[in-house]
Amino acid sequence: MTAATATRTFAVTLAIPDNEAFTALETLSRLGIGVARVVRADIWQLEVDGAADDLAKTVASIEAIHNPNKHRLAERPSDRPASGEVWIAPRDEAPATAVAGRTIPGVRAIRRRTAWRLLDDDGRDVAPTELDRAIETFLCNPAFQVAITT
Amino acid sequence: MTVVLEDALARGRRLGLALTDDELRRIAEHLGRVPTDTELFAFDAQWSEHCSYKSSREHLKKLPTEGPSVLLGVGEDAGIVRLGEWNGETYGIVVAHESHNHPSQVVPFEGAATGIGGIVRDVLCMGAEVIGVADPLRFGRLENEHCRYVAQQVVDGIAAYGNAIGVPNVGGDVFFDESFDDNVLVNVVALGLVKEKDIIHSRAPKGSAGWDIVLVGKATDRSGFGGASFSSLTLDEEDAEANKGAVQVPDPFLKNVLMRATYAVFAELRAQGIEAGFKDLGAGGLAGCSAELCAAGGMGAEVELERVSTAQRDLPPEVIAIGETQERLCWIVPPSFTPLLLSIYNEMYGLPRIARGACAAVIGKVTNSRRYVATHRGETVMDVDLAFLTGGVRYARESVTRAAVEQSEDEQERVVTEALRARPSTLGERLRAVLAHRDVCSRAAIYERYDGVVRGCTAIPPGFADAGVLVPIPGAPLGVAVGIGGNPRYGKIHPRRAGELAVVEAIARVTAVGARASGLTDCLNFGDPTVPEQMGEFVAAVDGLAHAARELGVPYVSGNVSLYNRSSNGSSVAPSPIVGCIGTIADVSRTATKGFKRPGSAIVVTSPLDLRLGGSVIAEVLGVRSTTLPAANHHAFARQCALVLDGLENGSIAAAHAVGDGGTLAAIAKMSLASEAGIGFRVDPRPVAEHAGHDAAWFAEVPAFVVEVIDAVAFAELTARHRVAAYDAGQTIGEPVCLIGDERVPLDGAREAWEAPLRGFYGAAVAHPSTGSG
Amino acid sequence: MRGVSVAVVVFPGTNSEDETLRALLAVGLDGELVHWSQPERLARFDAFVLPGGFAYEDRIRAGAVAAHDAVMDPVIEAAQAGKFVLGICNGAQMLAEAGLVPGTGPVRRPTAAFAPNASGRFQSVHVHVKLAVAPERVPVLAGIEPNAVIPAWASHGDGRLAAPPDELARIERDGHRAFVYCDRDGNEVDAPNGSALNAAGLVNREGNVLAIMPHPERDAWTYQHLDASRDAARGDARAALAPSGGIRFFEHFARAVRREVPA
Repeated sequence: MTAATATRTFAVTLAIPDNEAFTALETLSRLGIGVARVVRADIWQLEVDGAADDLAKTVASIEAIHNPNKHRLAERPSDRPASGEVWIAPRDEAPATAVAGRTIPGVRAIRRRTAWRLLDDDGRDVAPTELDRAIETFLCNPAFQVAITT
Repeated sequence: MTVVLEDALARGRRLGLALTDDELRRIAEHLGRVPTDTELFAFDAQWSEHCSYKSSREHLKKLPTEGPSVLLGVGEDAGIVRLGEWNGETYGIVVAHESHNHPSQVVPFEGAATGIGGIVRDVLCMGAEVIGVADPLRFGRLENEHCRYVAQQVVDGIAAYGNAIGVPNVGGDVFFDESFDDNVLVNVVALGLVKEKDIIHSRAPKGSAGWDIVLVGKATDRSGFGGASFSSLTLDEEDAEANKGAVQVPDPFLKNVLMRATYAVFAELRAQGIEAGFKDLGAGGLAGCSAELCAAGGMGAEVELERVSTAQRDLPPEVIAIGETQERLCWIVPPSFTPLLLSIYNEMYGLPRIARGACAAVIGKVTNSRRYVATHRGETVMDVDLAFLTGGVRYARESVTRAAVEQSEDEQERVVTEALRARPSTLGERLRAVLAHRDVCSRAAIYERYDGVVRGCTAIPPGFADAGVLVPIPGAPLGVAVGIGGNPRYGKIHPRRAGELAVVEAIARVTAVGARASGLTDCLNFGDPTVPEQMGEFVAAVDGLAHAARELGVPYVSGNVSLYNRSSNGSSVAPSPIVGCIGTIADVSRTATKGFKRPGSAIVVTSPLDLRLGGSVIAEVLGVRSTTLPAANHHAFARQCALVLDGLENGSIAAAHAVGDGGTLAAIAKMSLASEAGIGFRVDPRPVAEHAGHDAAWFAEVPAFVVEVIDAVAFAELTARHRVAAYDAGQTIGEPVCLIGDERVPLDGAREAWEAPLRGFYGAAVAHPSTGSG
Repeated sequence: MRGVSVAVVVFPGTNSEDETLRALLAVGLDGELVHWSQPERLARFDAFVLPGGFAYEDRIRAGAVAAHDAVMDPVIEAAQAGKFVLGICNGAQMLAEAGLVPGTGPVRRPTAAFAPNASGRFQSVHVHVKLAVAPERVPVLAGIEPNAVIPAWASHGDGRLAAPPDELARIERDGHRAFVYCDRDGNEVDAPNGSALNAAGLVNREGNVLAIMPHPERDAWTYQHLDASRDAARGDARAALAPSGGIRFFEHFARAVRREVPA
């Protein structure tokens, strides 16, 4: 337990059309939220012991996280949502230690969130009040989820 | 001409095609000009092993394919077995069998999921309602990290796809062997229900010149470009990376809607009495599918590739023509029907709103020319003779039958006996070790991930009997069972006998539930056909498959061949002839689950005591390398099957279970483990020990059944009539315990040994993208 | 006179519509499949069933998109007007997402959820469920006997009741927990999915909207049973094909829909 613990955050987006984001856009529009485009990402947060040197490479090689045929993978500099973004996480979360049966060397806990970003016609983030409304009415079920914003 | 040839060869190499120089030469000579890129890709796909069976076809002729139970034989996307009559209609069960081995090794989740997706389309395009799937799986050793990953992802992929489209998974099997470490086998059998008069054929109907060719489904994209030749090539590490682009992306949500929309189209076609042509897009993409449809009907095709809905702009014509984007189907319909067809898919079922770019669209016309002509923005990119394109090539591969390294059976038994002496143990302990063996232990942790009961037609779900049973026509007592056979331990020892035993096992499984074996479907997974020894294994196994099926009188109605299954060091996977048997049942009330039903029944084994242990699990548990595999006596086995069917029919048998991996004692124990009433058993091991000289005979894996007899008099009459030398092995008892002589093994302890291995592996919770609800 | 009529609402991705309709017809109801593209057809029905499947591929959350779909508007109105509404599996998830069960908050503001199973995986296992409230609490299942045990298949990836502690306390106290998991003799057992309160089903305050995760329609005919009742029908095709077991759930629903309220 002497090694320093750090959180490394990876975002996985789809290189092919994101049907889930498309569906979210349709439902949000129906709810009267002024959004022109929805961007979704899978956020993988890995709690690592010390310096896990090859972590980014290892993560990229795990197809349950990143299938190069359809995904793009990027490491995030921060372990918090970016401005204008919301992360939806399970409320009572038991972090996993393996992904699809595969443990990652040096990784002691794995957490997964879904990141949503709502953009207007000009490609800018919608107003924070609109994002809040989207979270309250649709993106988060507070019975078992929490919404994390900046 | 030389210039043309050189140019063709250079292009073929530049495009990275699997076509050989000789094949490229034949194409260029036939065309008399330099082939276009689109043509080269089309030939590459059509002449691949996957599409043309160029190495295997000669040998497949040996398989028996005719019989009164065959409604539609081998030749189209799927065969059809006669199910029976109901309300004046003859019903058939559509049977298709495919492998998705190489894609599943490279991207296991998508590979396994698209395997289900593809086979379901094969059944659908016969005009059938898809009623069930079954998956034979062969994984590498779970001690190996990557193998663990593949074994998890394949199961997740099958679950995610099959569950979402709402087709129950009612059978299958799983083996683990190091020969699959670099090359898993993911086979899949799919079943459909169709009335004989409603069968749709995969061909352009007679006189269909001028009819519309309609492409339905997902927008064409770059995914799955080069899949057909990819699945016929040997994998190595670098290829695996390069080939990821060839793996298709599954969309079970779209498929769910596509299936239901297609059922609505079937209803309209039937109401209007229209004969249409219908085929799914698989290997070879749009060009392969529409070419085969038109070739089969003796027609030609003119296709305008720019009319194809694409996900990206400016896709090159060869990708539009040959790419293997999933979830697509091709119709040939009279123009008068086209507007309704388009409106069902595009309006009623709203495909464009289900997935971006998904739709039904007319992309060309049927012609009388017997040529396949494709244009792209006014330019002809393909103009070939259809018979030449779809006829493929044939190779007579050299094969060598492996030199006989077999010991005599006496020698094999001597080695086993020595090992038994060297490792003294009680029968109960040996039973526990056998139940915990990777080939014997409970598969519940896998099949519980599959929905085995969606559609509400499941009579026996996975795990409760040797075969899954469906009652596909609501209100009718007709049932269909599907059982899988094939054992890599056997394949490695003796490919021919392994082929025979695969047939025997599949038939035994459906027989044990009370179904009559009506049709077989085979998937032949072997190594490199250009290596004579590996080709020899294929030839030997096909001989075995043919021999057993002939002897037992059950025809093949469909099948598939997957070659080049081998590891990077060139060694083949365990020769794996995998057989599915379709059993039909006139009265589902006569079926039985395998669990013991009541105390006080006689436990009877339907064969003479057999002492041969070559290839058995007990031999492996004892650390003995098997070099022989017992020959099967098909006539004796056929009489046992007749006995079991009659015993279930007249009610003298309450439960039956085929002896398989682990032998007789494991089979008896599994009948207790499956007992809903918690029924245990008592066996007296002495007679066997005295007869055999050792107690391992309890674990011999011979073709036989263990049956629970509840009417000894009626059963004795049957054994006499069928000349079966059955022996009493013990009795059922009303206590959850295995009494083996003086030894007492609580059923809970046996259950723990049996369930723990895969529960530990598949039961663990993991973080994973959602596999959905239900 | 036209019989009372039930709509089985089909969303894109639904997969259990046929067997659900078959069960409703077997108990004498007049039922029809109504497609997501035909919300205008729904007004004329007396009751509604939301069947199992993966509506909208469980995108965002299981049941969430369907709960906001236009085709749900008439269903929600009907529920509020006191008509009977049943949700099975994916349908149960939709009712939770629509806020109709437990119904303690505003419409489409869920206070509870059928969240991902504790295992994180889809699981299909045979179960029994037991009525965990007084029969008066569930008019949607008219005439059901106290502690009734129904066989069913729990075939889902998201069936774990989840809610904040105070809401769970309310669900239990106010009798929203309609069904719990049990063995065949009715003894409560741990839920296979880790569900809070061992809950297998939820009912609203008025008792006209019921959400149940396991599928009674998949063990609704004698030939589907896995216990001795199946063997009792051996050799008798008519008995094997007869509705029994899970069909009882639908029989009570039919009595409710026909307003055959017991005296």
